[in-house]
Amino acid sequence: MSTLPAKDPSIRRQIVGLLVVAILLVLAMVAGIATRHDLFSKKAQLHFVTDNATGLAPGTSVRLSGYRVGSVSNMTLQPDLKVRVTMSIAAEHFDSLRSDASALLVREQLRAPALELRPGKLAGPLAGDDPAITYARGGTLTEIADDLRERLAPILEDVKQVTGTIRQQKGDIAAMIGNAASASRDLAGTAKEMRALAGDARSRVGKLGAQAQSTLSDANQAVGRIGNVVGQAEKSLATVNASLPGLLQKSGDMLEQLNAVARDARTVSNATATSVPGLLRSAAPLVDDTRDIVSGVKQSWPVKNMMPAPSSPTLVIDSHDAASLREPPGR
Amino acid sequence: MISVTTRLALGYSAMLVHAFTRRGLLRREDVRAGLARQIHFTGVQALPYVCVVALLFGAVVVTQALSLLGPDNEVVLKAVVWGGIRELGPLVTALIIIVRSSVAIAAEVALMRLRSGISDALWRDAAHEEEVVLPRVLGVAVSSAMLVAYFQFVAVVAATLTSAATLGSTIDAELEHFMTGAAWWQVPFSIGKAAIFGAGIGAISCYHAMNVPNDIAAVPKAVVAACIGSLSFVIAVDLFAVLLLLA
Repeated sequence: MSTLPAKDPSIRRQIVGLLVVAILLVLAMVAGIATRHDLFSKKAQLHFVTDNATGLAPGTSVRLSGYRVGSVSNMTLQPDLKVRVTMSIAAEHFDSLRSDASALLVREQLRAPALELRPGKLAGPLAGDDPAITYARGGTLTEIADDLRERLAPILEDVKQVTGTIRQQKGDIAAMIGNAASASRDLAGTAKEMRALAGDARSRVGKLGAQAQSTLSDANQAVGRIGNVVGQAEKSLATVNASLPGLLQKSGDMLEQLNAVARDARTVSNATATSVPGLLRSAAPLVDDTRDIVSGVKQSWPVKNMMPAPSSPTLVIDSHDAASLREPPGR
Repeated sequence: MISVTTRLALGYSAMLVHAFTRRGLLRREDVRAGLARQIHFTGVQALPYVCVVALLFGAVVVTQALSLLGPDNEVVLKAVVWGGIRELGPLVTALIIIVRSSVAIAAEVALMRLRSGISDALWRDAAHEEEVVLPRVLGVAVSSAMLVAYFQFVAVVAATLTSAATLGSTIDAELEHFMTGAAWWQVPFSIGKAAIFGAGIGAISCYHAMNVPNDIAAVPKAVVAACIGSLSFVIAVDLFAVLLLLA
């Protein structure tokens, strides 16, 4: 056995140094892993009971909003053949769980199963003495695929039958395809016409739009004028409103005066009604006397000379033709 | 065949028991010098090889697995990353030790035996036996444990840095993934397994070397037997450890 390396103190120091560094690295890794797993932090326990704990095992990750907060710490089969699953999570996250908190088993292909905690929405916090939550299982891709297969299988069978029927009626389908080809050609022509119509309609619509725009501008101007008239009407109404009480007051006074006049007229008419008949009865002899007096005055001198002579009376033509009197008869 | 296997198993066990029961000889300077020399040859000189393998594993295998199966994939982290580091670290280290040290120990001890004419009577002499076996068994065990510690650290650091660089995430996020995907007991477990590997390799190498016939032509056979025996021991212990974890 060569003793050269062993006698060299630097080699021994090198060995001791490497061993010390190795021990420190091991301690650092263990401490780092333990710290990340919250082994040095305060833990809180919660549990659920399920009929089927497939996919769960001690050590299964427990996540909150996708963030790892703990793991499944214990699983026990109860006498009623239900499984009690106990989870250990960091105590700081326990307070965020409500009384309706639940756990959902999330399983995806090529990924380890994980329990996703749902905090719940009720106001009450999760009971500290009996922190029981509900449990549900999410479907795996295999289960989803099986479900899809069960749903799609009848559809595919129908499609198979339809394609078989189509295959049997191949001649009809060829005729249909020919018809479809001619129909598509017609359709192309129709589309061309429709395109032309659309162009024409577009130009007309453009003109209509221009006219509508001018009409709208006129309407806007008219509305502006109406607005001015309305403003003036408002002013007039304000004036009327201001002077109306005085007018009403004057009208009231006038009506009162008219009432008084009417009352006076009624009084006068009443008085007249009593006096006029007597006056009318005495007026007739008075008129006769006055006529006699006037005729006497007219026949007396000099008034008699002052009066125009009475005209000779004209006979009424009532017994022969008036034209024969105006034209002499022929010789 | 079974009898040969049983004889070898008993011989290997006897070598280990001898080394353990004679641990008090570590107080002797020559034994400590032998231990230091063995650690130097097996541990210190093999450290660059182990670091290169760990660097490649962490930078290539882990990063490729994460990029293919998702950087936050817990299965990848547990199975590929820490499963690989936990299993591959001790295994690669054991293979390097077998390739470098097992054959060297077997050849060295066998030549020592031939040159010094060690007979069966002398073999039973405690002074010779413990001076040869104890430093090698303990030295290889300590070296193996040390190499695995470096392997794991270098692999994790390489995987973290490479993943952060290639996947566009931060070093802290990748370190969080690696640390979260691991279990604290995996580190001492793999180091303990590596120590067992090393002790077994040392004991097996010494056993085949000490039992070499007094013929120079028997030395290569002893070396080959030590190599094959060490490899078989490593595989058997690794299989047992896997079964222990699955149980």
